[in-house]
Amino acid sequence: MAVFMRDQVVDLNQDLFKFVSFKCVNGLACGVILARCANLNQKVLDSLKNYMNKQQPELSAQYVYDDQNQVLSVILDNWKLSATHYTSLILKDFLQDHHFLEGPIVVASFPESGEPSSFNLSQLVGSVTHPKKDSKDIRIFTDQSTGEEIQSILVVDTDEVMREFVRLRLELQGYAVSEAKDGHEALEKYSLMNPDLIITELNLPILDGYQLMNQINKRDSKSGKVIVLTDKHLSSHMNRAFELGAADYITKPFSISELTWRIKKLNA
Amino acid sequence: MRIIEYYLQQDSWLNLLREFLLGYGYLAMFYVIAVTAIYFLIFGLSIRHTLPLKRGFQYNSIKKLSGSEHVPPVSLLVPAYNEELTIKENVRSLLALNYPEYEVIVINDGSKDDTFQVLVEEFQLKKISAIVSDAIKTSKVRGIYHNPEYPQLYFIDKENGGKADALNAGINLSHYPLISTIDADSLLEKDALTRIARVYMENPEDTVAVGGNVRIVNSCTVEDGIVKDVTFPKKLLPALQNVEYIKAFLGGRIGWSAVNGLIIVSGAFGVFQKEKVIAVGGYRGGYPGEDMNIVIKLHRYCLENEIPYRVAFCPDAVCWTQAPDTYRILSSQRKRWGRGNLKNMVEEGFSMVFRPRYKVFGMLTLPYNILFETLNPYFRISGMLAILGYWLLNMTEWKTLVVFGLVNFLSCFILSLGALYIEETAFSRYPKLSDLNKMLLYSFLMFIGYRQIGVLWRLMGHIDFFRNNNTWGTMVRTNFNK
Repeated sequence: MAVFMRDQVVDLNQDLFKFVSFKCVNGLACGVILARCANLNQKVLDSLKNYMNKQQPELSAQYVYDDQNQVLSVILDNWKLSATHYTSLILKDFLQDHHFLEGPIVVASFPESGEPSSFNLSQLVGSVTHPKKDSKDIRIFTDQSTGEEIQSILVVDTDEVMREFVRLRLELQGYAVSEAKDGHEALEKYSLMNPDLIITELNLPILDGYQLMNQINKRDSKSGKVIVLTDKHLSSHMNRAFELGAADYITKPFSISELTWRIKKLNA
Repeated sequence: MRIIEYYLQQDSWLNLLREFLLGYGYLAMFYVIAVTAIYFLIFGLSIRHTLPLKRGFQYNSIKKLSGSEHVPPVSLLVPAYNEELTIKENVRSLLALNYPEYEVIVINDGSKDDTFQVLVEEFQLKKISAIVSDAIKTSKVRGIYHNPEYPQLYFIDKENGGKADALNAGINLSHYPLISTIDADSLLEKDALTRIARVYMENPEDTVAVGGNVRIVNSCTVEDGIVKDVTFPKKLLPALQNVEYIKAFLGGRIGWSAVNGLIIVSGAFGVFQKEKVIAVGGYRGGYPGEDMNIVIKLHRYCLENEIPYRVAFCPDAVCWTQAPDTYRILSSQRKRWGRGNLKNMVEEGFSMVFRPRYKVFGMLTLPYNILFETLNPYFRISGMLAILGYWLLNMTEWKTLVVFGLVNFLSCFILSLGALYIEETAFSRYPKLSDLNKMLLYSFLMFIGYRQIGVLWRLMGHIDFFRNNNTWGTMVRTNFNK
């Protein structure tokens, strides 16, 4: 049952993604209002449409109701975030007057609220279907991926056991983890997969950890955070690593909870 | 009457010869008994120290030491002469050792092949003007190369002057108080330096030199400069050398280091206090055997100046080296060793031997080395002639000879087995049972031909020495990744 429900959300995400990205590709803004409503039918949607058009004559919008998730989506053509927010107030009035509103209303406008990526949209839908607080407020969606939420991690170490241990533990935390056994392989995998975070030993064959960081800095200054996880305890090594832009420095032996905590800190 | 006189005279000649041979026989008996006694003494010390050594490196957290700020920084000196095949891989593997602070100084000793170009291109080295001490005089240095991308790596390009000269040039550039010499054809295990540093740190003031254990890499699989799969050599000559090395290093050097009587720290891998090496004038150039020479000089310097000191051996720090696998190259190596050994004894040994001032080194190590190592070929050959004499003069019967031979063989074989026992209890680097069987087999085969031919090579080395033939001989390198 749970799996089935999830599939429904995925469908909703995908429909939304198609709409929004189509608009955005054409260089237009695209406002989105999602509201948790119960028992809407085509008749109600029609009356809603009339009501909205009366209030805002210039509005061009599509109204979709998803039965399974009980989510009403309103997609507004070329509507900036402020305008979308204003429209959502009108929408809320209507829904509350007719006692349809069951949960929160979330407002967003792409690309103002962030990249119209499928990740962002699934976050958007998630905030409606699984609200954190049980209220009927209007909330403005904030893009969490601009804080570069870490999802994919590349673990670089010569020690096979070490790599596997870190990979398994991080995968349990829900990260997508890949491995590399030396600096050269790490660089190849980096350009191939572009991971959000690299956890690297400094002492590596072919290219060492410093050179790896250097190369990554040269390629891409913005993305590619690096946490150094190493045997080297000297302050000179630590200094050099931070100078090359390491985000954090952890020495072995280490605790996996410390590592995950520090990864979470990078998200904040 | 004349005829009788003739026979009498003949008879007295024969009697004289008989008496001489008898005297020689007693001498030879004492010789054999003495050498066997020393062998067993040293071997007993080795066995006695195996367990403490084993406990020492089992309960030490090498992993933690390898990043700690408490281990001393080390300069690795890598002399390279015509090493274009292996140098790249070797330097790469040296740059990735598990050791907190060290530098790698490669010295190109005027190679005739592309060693220089290979290294400069691989690491994109640029010529720098470095401050170099002139503690030891060397051949002309053409340039010093460095790349800030690899801050640990320095490359000295100099004119040809031999291995000792290259090491001296490296000492002049080195920045750290400890130096380590590594052959360019050898592979250092990742934690070998840390393990040696552990031994050094037990007594940093007194420890002037620490030797590592040399093992034979032939037939092992090497990946990225790391020995992945340890296999007993498949070819005959490396296999024989393998058991020979195990016997010499584990059965011999552990014991010698226990009485502070080590005469050699192998050139393939050893760590020295730089200050002391400079104090004795650096490495002696112009002759092979510089690794033994430096240790003798360190003994002499410390004993003459009454400095408390220790020359230690660290059997768990492993350096893998390629053993010669053809007769020609092996014989040239052994002749070189014989020549170097004789030179060292003539130059240093004879003036120190049997002098109480030089303690264990003068009273045990040197007598052993001179009488039973250097002069060994002469005793062997004269012994052979004597046996021929005994047989011709009917002074012996074959039973005695066989018994004598068997006793001698068994005592030597027991020593070989003992060395294998140390290997298996403390290290067991060869996990396969078939490898153990092979080691037993080759320990036995060593006595059939190999030992005898070794004596011959040493004698030929001495002949080279007297004929003033002073070349390094041939050594052919092959790539590690076969």
